[in-house]
Amino acid sequence: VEALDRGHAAPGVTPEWRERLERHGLAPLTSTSRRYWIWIGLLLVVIGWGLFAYATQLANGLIVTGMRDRISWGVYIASFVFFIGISHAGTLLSAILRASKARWQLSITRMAELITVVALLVGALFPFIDMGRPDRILNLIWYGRWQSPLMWDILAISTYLTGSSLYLLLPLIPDFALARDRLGSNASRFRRSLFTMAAVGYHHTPAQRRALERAMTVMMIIIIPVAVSVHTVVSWIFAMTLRVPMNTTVFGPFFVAGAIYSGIAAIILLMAVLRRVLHLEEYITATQFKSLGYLLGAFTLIMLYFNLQEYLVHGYKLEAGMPFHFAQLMTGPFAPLFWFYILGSIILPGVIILHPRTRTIRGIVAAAILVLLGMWVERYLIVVSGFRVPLMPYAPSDYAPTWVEWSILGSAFALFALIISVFTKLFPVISIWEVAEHRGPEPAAPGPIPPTFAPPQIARILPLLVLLGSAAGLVLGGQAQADSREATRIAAAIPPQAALGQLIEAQARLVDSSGAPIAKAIVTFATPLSFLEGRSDVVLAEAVTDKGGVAKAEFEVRTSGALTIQRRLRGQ
Amino acid sequence: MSGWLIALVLIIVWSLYAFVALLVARIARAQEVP
Repeated sequence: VEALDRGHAAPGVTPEWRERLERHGLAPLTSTSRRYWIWIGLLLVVIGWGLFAYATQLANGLIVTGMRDRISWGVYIASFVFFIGISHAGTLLSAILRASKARWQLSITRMAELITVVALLVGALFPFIDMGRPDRILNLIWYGRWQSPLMWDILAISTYLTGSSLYLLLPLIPDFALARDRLGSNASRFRRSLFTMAAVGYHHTPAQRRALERAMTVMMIIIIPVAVSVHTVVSWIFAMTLRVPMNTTVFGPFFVAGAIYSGIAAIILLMAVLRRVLHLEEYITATQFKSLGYLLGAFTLIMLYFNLQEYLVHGYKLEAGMPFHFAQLMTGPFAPLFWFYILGSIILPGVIILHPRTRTIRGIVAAAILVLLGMWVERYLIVVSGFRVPLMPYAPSDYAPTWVEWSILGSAFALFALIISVFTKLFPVISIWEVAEHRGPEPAAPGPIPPTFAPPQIARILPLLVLLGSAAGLVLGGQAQADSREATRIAAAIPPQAALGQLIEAQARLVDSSGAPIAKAIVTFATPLSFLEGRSDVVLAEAVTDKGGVAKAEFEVRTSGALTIQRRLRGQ
Repeated sequence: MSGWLIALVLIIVWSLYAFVALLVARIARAQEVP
């Protein structure tokens, strides 16, 4: 039984395109290159080194780490918060965007959900690693108290791990069925058994589809508050500890925002890597990078706001201990890390994404790497600098991670990469059935724009774009300065077709009466809107023409139907 | 008191997980091809 064949198809999905999607999506399950095994070997070596470091710690106790009685938390707890933070990638992308009926993210939801599960698995190891006597963990069960934030943490994380595993596995069922039906003898016996078992007899019958959609809807809704609760509870480990720098009520939302921020960065990085390694360029395009880039850019502002709130309120009151804390952060031993966090992982990524020239795939990936580095540093600062503020009038102690801690941290990242690498060989990393049914192919990029006025072209599924050519100063005033020539002709291009929810790029080109391009002019892209008896143009975007006289703007397609492109010069 | 509140939230969430597991079992049962 061919599971997908009875499914619905998104606009633009042809049998050839679907066949290619299936082939690309399933290819990693049937062929493995030598480079893959070298990569796995490398990861195993790093993990082996980490195990050796942990064995050293187990044999000698926590004295082999840099942690002592005054600074009793360090790299381990900072990394715990970091990994739990990036686990928010799956929730945000998958659940929130799925609930809001967004479509652009469907080709990367699987990766996002995978990050959630793997990051939780790896992150949850750190509290155990942080214990000198991990065998005493059972005391938490025998003698645990409901009043302890540590107890809340264990309950919240185990609940989230279970939920996110379910949420990862549910949309995998139709793809398991696809792999079972399509791969046949191309897959090993182990994989065939795995696909048959994991597909739970799925054959895309109406009853099965109803049950699956219902299950996914339940998980989509419940996983959002569970995820928010997890990082709030993680923040309470600090906020409910009697340490002056942690005496703040904003830690819950601050941690949730930071988690989503680093989660977005993690998915950008992972999709950049998997896109290249697994040759998924056709399904993961600039659309996904730019959309996530915008989200990341929005979160730079949210992070800036939270940091302002945090440091302004503390700095205004300057309770006992805070002058010391501010000095150590801003001009003292933590200053390089602190300013890297503020400037390098909040301001700089924001600037990279804000500027159209750097808002490219490379630029967005660079911004994501900065965010990930900075967010680990932030957690390190919260933990270590917070614990360094003396509780009594004694000289502040210092903390420097030892080789044991760095080795274990390195092996945790290797474990993270290993689990994801193994996953790519056992399951499709793209949700094939969702892309085929709800997303379809990326809209074609607009072709070269004819230099002269062309008759309006018909778009199959596009809102009406009224392109208003203009001279300088329509809205942006002095920001763009076109020369004094009057635009006499305007040409426009858009993709010939697009699916609902997809980002498309429209272009317009302005020329004067001699055919020469007009640079630095503002072009307004608008769509007509009718309400009751009224009708007016609603501005979608504005763009400034470049040297070639071309202005570009992106829109999300929100209405369906065949529509006409009109071009108007100002005053016409 | 706090214990009961936590337990109540956990019961609600885990019941929904159980419901989802039930739906997966229903998928497995409804595998006859139409």
